[in-house]
Amino acid sequence: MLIKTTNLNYTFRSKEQVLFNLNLEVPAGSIYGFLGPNGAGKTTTLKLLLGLIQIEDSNIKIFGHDVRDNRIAILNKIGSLIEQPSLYQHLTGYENLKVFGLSYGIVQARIIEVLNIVGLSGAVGKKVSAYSLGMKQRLSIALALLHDPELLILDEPTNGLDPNGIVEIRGLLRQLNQKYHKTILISSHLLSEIEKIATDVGIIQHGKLLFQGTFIELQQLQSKHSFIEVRVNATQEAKDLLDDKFKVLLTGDRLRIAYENDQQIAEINQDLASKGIKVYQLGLIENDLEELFMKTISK
Amino acid sequence: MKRFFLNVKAEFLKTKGTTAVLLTILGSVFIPVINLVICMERPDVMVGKFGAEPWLVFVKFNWKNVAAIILPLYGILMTSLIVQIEYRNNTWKQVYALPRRFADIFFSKAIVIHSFLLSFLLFFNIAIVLSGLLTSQINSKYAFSWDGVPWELMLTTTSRIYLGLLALMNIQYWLSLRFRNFVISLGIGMGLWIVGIVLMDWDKIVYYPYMYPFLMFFTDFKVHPETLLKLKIGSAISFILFLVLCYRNIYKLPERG
Repeated sequence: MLIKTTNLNYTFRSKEQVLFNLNLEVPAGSIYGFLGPNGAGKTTTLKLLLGLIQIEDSNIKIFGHDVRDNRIAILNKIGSLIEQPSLYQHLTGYENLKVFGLSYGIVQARIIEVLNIVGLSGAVGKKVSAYSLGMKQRLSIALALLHDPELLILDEPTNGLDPNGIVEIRGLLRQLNQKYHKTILISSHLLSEIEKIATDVGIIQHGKLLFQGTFIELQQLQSKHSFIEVRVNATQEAKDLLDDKFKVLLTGDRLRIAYENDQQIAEINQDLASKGIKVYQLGLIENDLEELFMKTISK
Repeated sequence: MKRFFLNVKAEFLKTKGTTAVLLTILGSVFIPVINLVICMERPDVMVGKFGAEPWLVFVKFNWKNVAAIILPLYGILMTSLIVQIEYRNNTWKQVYALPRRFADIFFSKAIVIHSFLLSFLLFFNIAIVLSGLLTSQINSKYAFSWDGVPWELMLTTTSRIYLGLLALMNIQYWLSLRFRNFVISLGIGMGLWIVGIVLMDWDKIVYYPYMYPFLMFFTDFKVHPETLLKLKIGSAISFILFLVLCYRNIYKLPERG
């Protein structure tokens, strides 16, 4: 494991505990999606990993070493982006990279290289204040890549981006993982934003890790809690018919039916048709993260 | 050590094109330019005022406003502006996530702040000399010559005022690091300076760091030589004291950035 936390707890000075026995495990080479709604404890966890929040008992190991005792050596191998882009707005893109590059002892060639990787080589002389949000996010990722780190910790890198920007960043992260072999820990409050790239997932809510595993395992969990919505001409009759085999909820003039696989959807349709019930509409209900949380909690 | 110098260089780069640079340049030449204009406009008053030692009077004429008002206010404002570069851009967390030790971050920024202050003092002294020489060039009734420039007096005064500013700068550095809101550090700094002005007649004013620049200039050390020693010791002790307090307090903060 590249990152491993053992029963990580954190309490703010206001005595509010925000993390409870967090056992985060990020495998090397993975894109680890750290999911949770706003206020779940994602940023606090990432700040603890980077040593931005200091704690007495560190239960965090990165690259196999304790963060508290080996902070500088560990940070040499981590590139990060925490919350909104942290850039000097009055400086150009190039100057921003130079400022941070000096701390790493980076040469100019590497700055040009990372600008090419993130596709910003055409905007190096422009002041960051004139950048779009997407460009700022790209520059922040360039900054995180400057010293060629093994691990990238990115806190909501697609926050505030339009759909195009999200797709671009997603493509960039996939490229960084596959072509440049970076392990990426990426936090988000939207499952849809990272489900296309994450190989591993951790779901956090109220400071507790509710789920951790591969994305395939998450999909299996998700499918157990998936629903279709059906509109028919005889709602009550349809409910009575399906109640024995499925979990059916009546919501207005529609039925919400839990299913586990595609075969069951076909079966539902077939059962209704065979009893002469007319199916006007049959559709999947997208499982958003919030719903999945609720289901994961109630599991 | 090489890494530390590179970090100092990075800290300087961050100030490029900021208000702190403009403030240093304009603030340092402001009084000499004003005095140049006064000399040009009122030679009837000013020529007689300078007497037999025009440079000595002219240097003091320039220094009195700078030591009493401009420099303390500049120190308060400039320190806040430089630290604000990080707060305004939300970059503190990025800085602390770099593989840099706390001492490296703390002192590299402090060096930039003191470099700005020293630059102000250098520009101000150059502006005094240029202002005097230009005055003579424009109006020959003024007797400012290159040979008569009182380098020793200028160096002594500058050194004393810088020493007097050290504690104030550290307190302001502390406040600026401690409070994200620019208005708080600025407000407390200005407040402490105004309190000093109000308490000027207090017999313990030599223990009040915000008045050290004022006292370093306006005290007649020929009459009160003991006060100079008190001020020097007070400045040095309070500089070290507030440096240690500031370092410890910021280092112990549970959250950085």
